Amino acid sequence: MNKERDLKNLKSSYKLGFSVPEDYVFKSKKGLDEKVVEEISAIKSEPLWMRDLRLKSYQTFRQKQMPGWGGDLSQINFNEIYYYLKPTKTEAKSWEDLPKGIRETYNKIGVPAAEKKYLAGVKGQYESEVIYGSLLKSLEEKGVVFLGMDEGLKRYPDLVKEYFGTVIPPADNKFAALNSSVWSGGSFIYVPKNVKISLPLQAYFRINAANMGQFERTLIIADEGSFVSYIEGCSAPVYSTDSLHSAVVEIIVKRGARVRYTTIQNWSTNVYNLVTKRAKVFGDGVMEWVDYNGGSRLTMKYPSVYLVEPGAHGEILSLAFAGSGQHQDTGGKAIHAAPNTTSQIISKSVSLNGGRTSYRGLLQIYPGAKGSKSKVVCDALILDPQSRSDTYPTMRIDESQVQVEHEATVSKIGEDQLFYLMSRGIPEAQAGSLIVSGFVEPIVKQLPLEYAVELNRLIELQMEGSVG
Amino acid sequence: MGEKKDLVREKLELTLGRTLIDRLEEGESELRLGADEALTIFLLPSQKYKNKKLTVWLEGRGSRVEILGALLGGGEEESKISIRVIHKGRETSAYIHLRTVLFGQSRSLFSGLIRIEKDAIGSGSLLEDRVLVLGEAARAESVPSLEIEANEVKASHAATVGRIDEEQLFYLESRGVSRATAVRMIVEGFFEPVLRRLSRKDLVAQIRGELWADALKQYLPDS
Amino acid sequence: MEITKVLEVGEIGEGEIKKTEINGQVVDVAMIGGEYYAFNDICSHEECSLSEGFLDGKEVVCPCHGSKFDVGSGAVKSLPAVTPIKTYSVKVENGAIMVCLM
Repeated sequence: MNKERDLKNLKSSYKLGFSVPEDYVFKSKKGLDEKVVEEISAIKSEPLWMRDLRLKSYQTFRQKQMPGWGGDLSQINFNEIYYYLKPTKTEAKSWEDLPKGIRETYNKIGVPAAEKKYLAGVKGQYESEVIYGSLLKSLEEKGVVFLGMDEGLKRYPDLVKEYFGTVIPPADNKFAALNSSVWSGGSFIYVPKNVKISLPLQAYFRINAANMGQFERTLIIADEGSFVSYIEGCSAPVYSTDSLHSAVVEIIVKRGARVRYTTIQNWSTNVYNLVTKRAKVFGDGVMEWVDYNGGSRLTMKYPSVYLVEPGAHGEILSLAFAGSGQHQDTGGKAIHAAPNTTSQIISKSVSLNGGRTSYRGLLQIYPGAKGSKSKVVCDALILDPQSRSDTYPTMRIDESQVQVEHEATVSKIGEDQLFYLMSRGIPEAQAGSLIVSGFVEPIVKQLPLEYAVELNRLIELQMEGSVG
Repeated sequence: MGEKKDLVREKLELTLGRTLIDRLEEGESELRLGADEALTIFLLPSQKYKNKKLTVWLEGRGSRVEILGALLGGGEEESKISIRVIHKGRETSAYIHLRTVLFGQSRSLFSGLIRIEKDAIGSGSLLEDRVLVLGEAARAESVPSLEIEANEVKASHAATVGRIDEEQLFYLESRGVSRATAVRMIVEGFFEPVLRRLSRKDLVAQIRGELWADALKQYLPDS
Repeated sequence: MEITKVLEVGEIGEGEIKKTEINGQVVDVAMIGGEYYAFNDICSHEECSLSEGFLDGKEVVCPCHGSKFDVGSGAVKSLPAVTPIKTYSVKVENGAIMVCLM
């Protein structure tokens, strides 16, 4: 357990895989126009095609409409947002500058000291570790590429060009267009044929402010027969002054490959988190999205699987927690475009203290996708009368030889269960917390152990109302 | 889209007791139920149903609505059905169970909304939407939604879309039943769960007559 | 093979897409690198008109959600479209651009 923690607290002194971020002395400028987009590209010394892609995406962003559904986006003012990388982690900040609630939570969850300081932006760099060095070295020897997206574009421009924007094109939606024009940071991963990486790759191996960047762009290519598991985020609340986070994640799962992408999202409650995540799955490939959303003011995110060749399989496990002032509008999409494809969507949400969770999903089966099977289960718990839960599932079935099932339930904690636990001497608050833990367990148990532990503690705290 | 009709006033006098047989015709209908009022609505296909919107407000405490449907689509028909049940009063309940069989190239678009408002404490709502697709080019779109604003409630929905079980068919055929008759038997079995819910047995016979006589004959001429 | 004249040479320029109609079917004609291509106007994703999009190399990009298709083969080059579009063969004869709707 400790080894894993230490692995995270690592520094960019590892020369082969990462570049040390330069001092970000870019002028902070509010608002977005063509000049800003050009400057971003120039500062990064990008190839011409990427610069053109950014500019064209900016035009698309201007033209596209805001979505007419989902959460309340009316308060977003695009002119008040900084689209540049600001001087960030290299600035000294004191631990005391952090809001009290955040500090207390870090303490309660048991985040180790070094990690606390990193998360708080106090310390810009991790301690180096021999173990970390040898891990990355072994990946390199197998031909695995794991870089920040900026670095990936520099060192593998042809590979990036082949896939960038083919899973989520800039015109897909307004926020994909925005990301495509101002993206910075994110991960670039390529796993060669038949290479299976047993240890999950974690986003904060990348020593970069972009770990918590506003407009991350991630591209993962798993070549035939390979396996990779990737984790982003952390269960401790991440304090961000940026009010708009709009990431794009594109994943290509080639024949027989398997990718698992886990997200633990816990942005502070001033953040709008609008993300487009999509995987293209080839024959007999498997894509698993594990998505936890517990932070932000509004999250709109629907991880998707496009099953384009026979035998492809996709799973979306979604867990959402909405507390006071929060709206989690989440779910997933499964698109069956080939015969004998299968999908499963399991969504569990909990709303309390006036929070609102909405499940939004799409199951689409194209003509010709014979023998496809899909099952969608969405369960929601509403813990008190002020809270709200919605379910908006859409099923478009255009093939007759298929099997489709969908179930949804919304309820409060069962009286019987509660009574039983209380009769065993467990105080009501704790009993409620236990029941909620049991409710979310099927999804939490899919997380790596330490995340599961942290998440359970976080849930307990949220139930006690002690997390602000 | 046609004027909204107050179903209660218009049709209740014509129905047998508290069950309403609604021949799905185009238009919007609204229904408001008062305290302890209970109603069963049975939806039957009309010859060419196109666009039907039905909203039921469960306003009075303890009001209950049951919406059952045995629907068919064939040829190139397209049907759009939107059912909304809004729980406003305490301890209200709704049970919606629709079963649709699609032949030929028909399309069915179903949108169902169950909304339980803040004050509808102690309410419960269940929606089941099952589609059996028999036509090669038939298409089904289903959006069952839930909007729940109270927590002392229970709401759920289930939807399935599938084809006839070939094994079942094969079994019947091996017993000397013609394919067309076998399909008809399976379709009748498919509709059973909604017909069974009707306590008025005379109505069941009447509906069966409607279903088999008019509609099924049209789509399964050899049976 | 039913060949129909849709445009005159000169009515369409390099990098342009022009919408034409043949027997009730909407067919787009594009000129890329001096060559002409013809394809079904309706995007296989959400049925938007590809003629309102633009050309990127040898691909047509749908304006609605960015789906891309190869104008020669109709193959999908970018999601969210998942099914290809139909393409048609083009002939130029005596200054007329002819499309064969097979």
